[in-house]
Amino acid sequence: MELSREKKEILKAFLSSMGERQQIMLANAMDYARQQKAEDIPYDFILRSLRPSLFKIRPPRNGTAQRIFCNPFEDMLIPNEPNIKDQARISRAVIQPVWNWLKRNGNESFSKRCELYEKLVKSGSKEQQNRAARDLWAEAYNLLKGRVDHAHANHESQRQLIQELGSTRRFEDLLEIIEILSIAGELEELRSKLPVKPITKFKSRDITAVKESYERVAFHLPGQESWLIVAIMRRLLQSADILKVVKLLTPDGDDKIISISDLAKVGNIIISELEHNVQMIRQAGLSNEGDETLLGMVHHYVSSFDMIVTNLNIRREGAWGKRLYETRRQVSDILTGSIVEKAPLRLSKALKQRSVRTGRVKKTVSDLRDDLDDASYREARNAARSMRECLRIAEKIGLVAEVKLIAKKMAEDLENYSEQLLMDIQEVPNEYRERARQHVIMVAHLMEYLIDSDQADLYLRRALLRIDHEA
Amino acid sequence: MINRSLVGVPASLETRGFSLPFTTSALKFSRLRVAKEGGFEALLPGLSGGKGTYVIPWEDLPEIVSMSLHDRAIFRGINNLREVNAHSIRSVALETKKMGYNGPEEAVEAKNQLEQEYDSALMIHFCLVSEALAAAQSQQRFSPNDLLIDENMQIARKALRGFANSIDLSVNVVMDRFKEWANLLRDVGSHDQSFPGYLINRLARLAGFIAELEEWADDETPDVIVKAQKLQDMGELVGRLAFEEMECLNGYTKKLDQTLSHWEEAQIKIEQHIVKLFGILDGWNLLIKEWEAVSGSVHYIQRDKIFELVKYMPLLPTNLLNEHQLVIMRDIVGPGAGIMALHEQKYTKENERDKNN
Repeated sequence: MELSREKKEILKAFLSSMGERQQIMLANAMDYARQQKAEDIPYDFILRSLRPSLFKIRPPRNGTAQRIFCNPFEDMLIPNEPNIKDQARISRAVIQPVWNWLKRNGNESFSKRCELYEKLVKSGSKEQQNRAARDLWAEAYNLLKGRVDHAHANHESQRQLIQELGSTRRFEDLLEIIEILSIAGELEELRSKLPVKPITKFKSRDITAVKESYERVAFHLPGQESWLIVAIMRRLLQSADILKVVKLLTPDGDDKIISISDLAKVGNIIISELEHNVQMIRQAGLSNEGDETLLGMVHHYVSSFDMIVTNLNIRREGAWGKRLYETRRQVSDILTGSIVEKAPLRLSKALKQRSVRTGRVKKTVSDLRDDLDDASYREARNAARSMRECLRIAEKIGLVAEVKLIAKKMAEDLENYSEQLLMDIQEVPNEYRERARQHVIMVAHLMEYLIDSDQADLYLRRALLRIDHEA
Repeated sequence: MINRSLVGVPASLETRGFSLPFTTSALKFSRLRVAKEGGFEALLPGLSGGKGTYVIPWEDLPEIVSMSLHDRAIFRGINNLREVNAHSIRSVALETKKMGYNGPEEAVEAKNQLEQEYDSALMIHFCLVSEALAAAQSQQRFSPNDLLIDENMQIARKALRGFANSIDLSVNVVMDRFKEWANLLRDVGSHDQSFPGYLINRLARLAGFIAELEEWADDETPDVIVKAQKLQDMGELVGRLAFEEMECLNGYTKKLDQTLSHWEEAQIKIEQHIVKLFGILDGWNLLIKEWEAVSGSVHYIQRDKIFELVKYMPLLPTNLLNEHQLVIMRDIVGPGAGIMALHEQKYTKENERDKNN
């Protein structure tokens, strides 16, 4: 049923003023109306209007036993199946074969736990559901661990298991699932305290919660605690953020100590990911995806690099340090080749000049014979803007001297051109004043990036005054 | 008697202020309004990441924030305005961009926009002539496109003599008034939307934005849905009010004879409707542009953007709302809404000196 705008407003206002109980009753009634496809009731509109309030009153539920089985390692799931396994990334494709195995080979106890969980989802309390989920995970862990131990002891058994799962890569995924299931209860409790994936701001209260959880696992299940860190790392937007927890756990440690502890896997994963990011940066530089894309990726790299160095107390000469500083060298090379070295030429294409002869003397003047060339202006602007960004991150990627030198040269070239232009616009005929105006605005706009806004503004005022005065 | 006061919600478009087209990042979502004591004030939400909106004397703004070249030109342009409203600020913005202060792409865009509006005024003029021919029940009927041909326009003029005489005007005066009228409507568009102008396009985009948001929010978590709903609800209120204002404007075309015969009075009222329409839609352009910038991004970036947009969402002033709309508004700005405009802090040089001492 379609309502007029006015009626929608009146209805919306009415719904806003209803109490919680009335909203639930109305929502149930509208659900029924929708099932019956009642034509004379605007159930869609009413349900949509009530949706935000209802979410506060009755939060969504986890549905099935299979769904809750996956919860602990949900943040580690990836949609594809790469040929080479990445540590702490589990392909979704492995879930069904593993679940099928559990259903086929799991005993009656496992089936009962699944049924109980699904029953409690519909009509149990949150506490009952949590208990049932923990029991399910514990049972699944025992069954899968038993099977894998058997596979490790017997080559034929391993071959059969790999065949059932579909590939060796899926077998490796299963090994990680088992590690996570061993700490599932603690991990789920921790996950419920943290923001949803991806966590963009890893705040101190969240870091403390992870640390406390880690210590509990270290006490009750020694050897498994690093898996907690790895699982939570996958919930973060930037994996390197997890090193804040590592720093909290080992405030006096450096990378050497951490690399021989059980936290080594975390450090290795993060540095490998950084190395992979550098490959992506290299590809972006080669494929000319544009300065903005490349610089965005470099910013992300710099942020990760900083986090690693700060939180792991990296020694340059250590194994991790060598890998890390090698990535930095590669990134600065890419940036130099793709942006920094090309910038002066890109700028110069917009600063058109020509030679004129006055008597026996040849001099260089600004070339205002044509209207502003938008394409050259865009290139020059992009080059100037990129150089400004490069200056901002130069220190972080060990490129200060080179970038400063080139940026300084570009600023000087621009200043020289601007002064020449200021002189040349004095003799511009009336019909070309608009063109002169556009040129000085372009120069000022470029100055904003290469020098600063104040100087650009001052130059522009001088130039426009001169043009208008001559007019 | 309806209680129109909602804490922090502006009472009128003037007290809400007008969106400023600044490019300096610290000045995004900033507004300009006339101060109670006279002069202008700049409203800067979320300055230095703080909650609430800083209120700064307009003339102090360049000292407090280092502005881009483009923004300095806007600042100077606004200082030269006789009347400050969303419409006049937009004119300053277009002229500044056309000159190239914000780079070549925006210069081209502004030039195209201005040319389009010029063409729009011409076609709206022809729409009005076409309407007049229909109202006069003339045997000569031309569509607006037909009137591009000079010969047809001459025939139309002759055909309108009877109509002009019936309202004690000459054809020349009628045509002149149609031109003035069309010029007023260039930012709106023709009454039948066959030649949509800037404001009709903005309204259509707003409707599209609300629909997109609804679809997008379907897969989101509850807290995000709640925020997205606030944007939708406010957007729908804005759309509704803008639509009503358009209907008022169209009313003048429906009563052509009365409008033309009382043109001086009608002209003022039409202008007022247009200024009000600009004011109602003011600020949504930026919100939608911000959303479009992330529309192809991953969901967590879009989620962050929704939270940001709700913080800076322009609030409809209470004097424009009926009682049902006030109830909806109360729900939107209720506890936990996190809207910057609801909390203002005045900045003065004296406060700053005291803080530093």
